Amino acid sequence: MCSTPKAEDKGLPLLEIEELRIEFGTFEGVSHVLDGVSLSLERRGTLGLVGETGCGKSITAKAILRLLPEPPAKIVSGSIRFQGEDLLRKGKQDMRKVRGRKIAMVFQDPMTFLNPVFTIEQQLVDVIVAHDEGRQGGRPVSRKEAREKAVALLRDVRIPQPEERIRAYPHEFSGGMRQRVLIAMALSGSPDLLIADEPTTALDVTIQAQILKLTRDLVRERELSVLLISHDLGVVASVCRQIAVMYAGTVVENCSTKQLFRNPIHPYTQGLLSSILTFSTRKARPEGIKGAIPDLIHPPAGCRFHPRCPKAHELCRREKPEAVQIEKGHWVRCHLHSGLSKNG
Amino acid sequence: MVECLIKIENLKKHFPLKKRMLGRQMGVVKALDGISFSIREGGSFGLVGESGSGKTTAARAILRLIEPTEGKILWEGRDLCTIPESEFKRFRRNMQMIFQDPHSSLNPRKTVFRSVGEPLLIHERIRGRALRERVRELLEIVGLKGEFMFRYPHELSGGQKQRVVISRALSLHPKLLILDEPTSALDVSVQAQMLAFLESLQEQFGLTYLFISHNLAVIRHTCEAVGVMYLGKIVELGSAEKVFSAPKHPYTRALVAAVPIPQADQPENAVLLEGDIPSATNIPPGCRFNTRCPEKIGAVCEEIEPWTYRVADGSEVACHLYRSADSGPSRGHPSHLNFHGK
Repeated sequence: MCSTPKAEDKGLPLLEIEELRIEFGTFEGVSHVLDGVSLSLERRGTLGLVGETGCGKSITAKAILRLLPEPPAKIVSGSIRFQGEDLLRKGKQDMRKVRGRKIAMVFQDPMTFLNPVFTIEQQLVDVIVAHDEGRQGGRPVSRKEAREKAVALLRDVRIPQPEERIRAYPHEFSGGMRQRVLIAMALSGSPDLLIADEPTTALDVTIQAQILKLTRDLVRERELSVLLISHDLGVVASVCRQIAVMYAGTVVENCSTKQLFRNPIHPYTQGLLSSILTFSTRKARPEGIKGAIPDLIHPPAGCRFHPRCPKAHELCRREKPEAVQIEKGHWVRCHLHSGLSKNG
Repeated sequence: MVECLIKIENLKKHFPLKKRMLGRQMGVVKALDGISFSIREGGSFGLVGESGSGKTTAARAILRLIEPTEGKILWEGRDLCTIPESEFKRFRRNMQMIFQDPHSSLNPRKTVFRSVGEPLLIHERIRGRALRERVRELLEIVGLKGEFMFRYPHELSGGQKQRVVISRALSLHPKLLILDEPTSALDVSVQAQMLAFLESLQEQFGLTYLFISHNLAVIRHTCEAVGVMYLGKIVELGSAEKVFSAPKHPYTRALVAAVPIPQADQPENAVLLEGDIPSATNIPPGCRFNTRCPEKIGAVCEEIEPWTYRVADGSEVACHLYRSADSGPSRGHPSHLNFHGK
């Protein structure tokens, strides 16, 4: 397709992953972790990535930032274009300029990512100074300026009395507050894209609601794009306008949040939706999906979901389905629908 | 009155805080500050609340894994706290607990056979072929093939490990099963299977369940009665249907509103709780929820600990908002709740 796009080209998605294939070398053999993942995220867009444990959500996120250890990981083929540039062709030095300044990431367990022996101030200021060092032109930021910026960031993530709280150590903060600090840290390089990997899984529902609201506000205020990874469809739906459902290393369905809940097409998505315990109504009994996720060293031939699929037929065991557009912006990878119009 | 298997009365657990050097007491952590509820035989009761609200402490105190500071645990009318430890060991087989993380509940160096067979070996002195047959039966009950007994925990998936742990808990025919976050470590698709399975086990063996979870949907789907905990107390108690469809206490309302709904176009949360749960060493005076309460009436909330009021639909709520709505006299101690399943 477009081989030499310009970075500022309008209409071009901010992030575009095409047919990304990643393998992991293990003692038992080669594990085919990602099997042709394609995703795209608009400027100021919000995309949610959902799926069960081990479906490749976090691997995809880490691949974008090139945080996967290579080896054992091996990027076999595909491309990750961010603002028109292929991140897979960038060298180590160039990637350092991308991390934090263009794409930042927030992880699940905030305590693991904060150093317990330094104050929040020391850690935030270090990050701000480090982000500033590589910038061209102008005077380097002083620690005093960096501190002012840190306080402002803490205020942005709604930490009360930031001037005082900045002197605290991580253990003096609650889980929700620590996650706010990490979000502040991620925002310190003014990134265009924020990747949040299960940001609320370790938190209580009431605190989760606070963090999700903060994320929605930040998207509005800062013109941020967000890639949110979660196993909880409720969490994803509360922040994202687009949802991609992953299963065993492939995106099986990709559409707007509205389309997903109104008209889920893929049997896996349907199974996922039916296994959610809805809170408002007491359903007869949630069904769940029979079986377990496949072994990715010997993945099932054809569609990777066929051993668990209630509607699988002969073709599903043989051939891998292509992505088909069902209606505008609603893509699905399933043989049941591959006969339908390919142009939507 | 309904037959109740277990009745908890004003159960408390206070942990002393000691200064490291001199052993002087610096204060107390009131992890559990007087809770009361009862579960009917064959029923299921749920405890919900944020982390730090004392749910797990309650479970451990009921099993006497930690000695309660005060209060009564009446098991078929007999107070468990008065049974001496030596005798209690034999009694404890009537109640079993299943923990959140099945992985850390199984010894990685023991096969499934040894883990599941150990309680039978200790309590019933079953050995040899008879033991192997019993373990095979137990595994089949939880839907695992007999050959699983020769596997090690690392060869099992999360859902399978949880089933092994359940089969071990069932081995001594307990009456009460305490499930502490039984599905939190599992994926959504497996979670639904597990809950359906637990329900069928309950029917099959007439088990009584005490569910502990921060996941309101799990409690709603499995329990007939529910207690909402906040900082060591039950603030609302009633049938699951009533508590979740028409929550009374401002905390329950906020908790219910905070659950993200899986649907497009979510409503912006009307009640969003601010701040975090306070520390149990320093419980706010008056109503313990007053620091975060969006519906605070005034000084009364900061000064007087609310009594428990019974409201029209039968739920019991510890909140000043219901002073006038009280339809029956509340007894004794504040928050002295007494609710019998169905």
